[in-house]
Amino acid sequence: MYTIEKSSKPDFNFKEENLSTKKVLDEDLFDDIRRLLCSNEFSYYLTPSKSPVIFQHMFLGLDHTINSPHFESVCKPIIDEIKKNDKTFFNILRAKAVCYPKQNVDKIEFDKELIKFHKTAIFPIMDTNGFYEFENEKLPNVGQEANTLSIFDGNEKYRVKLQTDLSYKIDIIINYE
Amino acid sequence: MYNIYDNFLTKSYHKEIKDILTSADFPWFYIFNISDDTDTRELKNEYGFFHLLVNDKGQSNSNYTSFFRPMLHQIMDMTNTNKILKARCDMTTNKGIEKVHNTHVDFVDQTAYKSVIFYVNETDGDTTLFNEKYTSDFKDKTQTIMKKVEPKENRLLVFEGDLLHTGSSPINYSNRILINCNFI
Repeated sequence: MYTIEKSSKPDFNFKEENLSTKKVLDEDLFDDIRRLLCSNEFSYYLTPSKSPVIFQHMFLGLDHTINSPHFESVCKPIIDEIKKNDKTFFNILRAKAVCYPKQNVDKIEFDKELIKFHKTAIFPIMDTNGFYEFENEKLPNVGQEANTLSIFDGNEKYRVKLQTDLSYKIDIIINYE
Repeated sequence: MYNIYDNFLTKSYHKEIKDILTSADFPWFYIFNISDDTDTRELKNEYGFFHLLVNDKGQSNSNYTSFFRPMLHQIMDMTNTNKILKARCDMTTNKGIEKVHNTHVDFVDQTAYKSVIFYVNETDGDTTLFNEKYTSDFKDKTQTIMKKVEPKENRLLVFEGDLLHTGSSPINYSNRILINCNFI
């Protein structure tokens, strides 16, 4: 059972249901999204981090600008699922796809996404043995199973544990308030 | 059969190319096989990222193409060629293992063309040139190494297009960026 740890903020009040293992999108719709993100027609951009090598595709930036023609087709259905599961949903802060090529990097620092109070939703595009772990060890690992949605307090520091099975791991990460 | 030119571009032009290709603004596209068209989705380590500058019809394929044109023309002058067959930026990443990619030629249906590799960043992962030329059954035959070329910033490697060759992924650096182009 995946439960969301209560935040100090009163509106952090999710249903205690197993969000991280429930398939959230219709299979055909998910296949369309997966095919697009794994295709050679979808652009990825290097992040400034030198190690590990991480690519991302910003759908919606922190300046509230939609940077991608794929925002509607890819993010909208996921945002709808977030709204269904989080009645406190108010506003998207950022939406991006992250692509981790398989690589030999042991240690990645814990980090949090944004300074402003927010929530983070992770939607993996493929099943891999890579996952995200939290600095707070009481929280379960997330982000391993395709077409699932894991939502957590964005102020929790977390880091990716890179996959060793597939050549790449792609996740959609949405920050919202 | 091959030529190597170090410090091929002026320092500032090379730096600008490197800055662009390593910036967060330059789009890269995933490809499951960085070497050739063989479907290697089942294999785990043939993948890479590319950005097509000039497609195989000789047409510009990117907003960035015009920035790279002076380099492409300089190569054409140097190789006595007059047409770009294809130009592509390639990036392979450190896979944590030594990985030599598939042996290949860039075009199987062209003759008398030049293949060119311009190494952009400081990295490792040699390019191997073989003594043998492409034949349709080359995979059934043994190849012998003619030369292993180390990648070096601002180095240009030119060789006959029908020479079998391959690249490898970096093991000591996080990524290996080059521009692969062909001229006739």
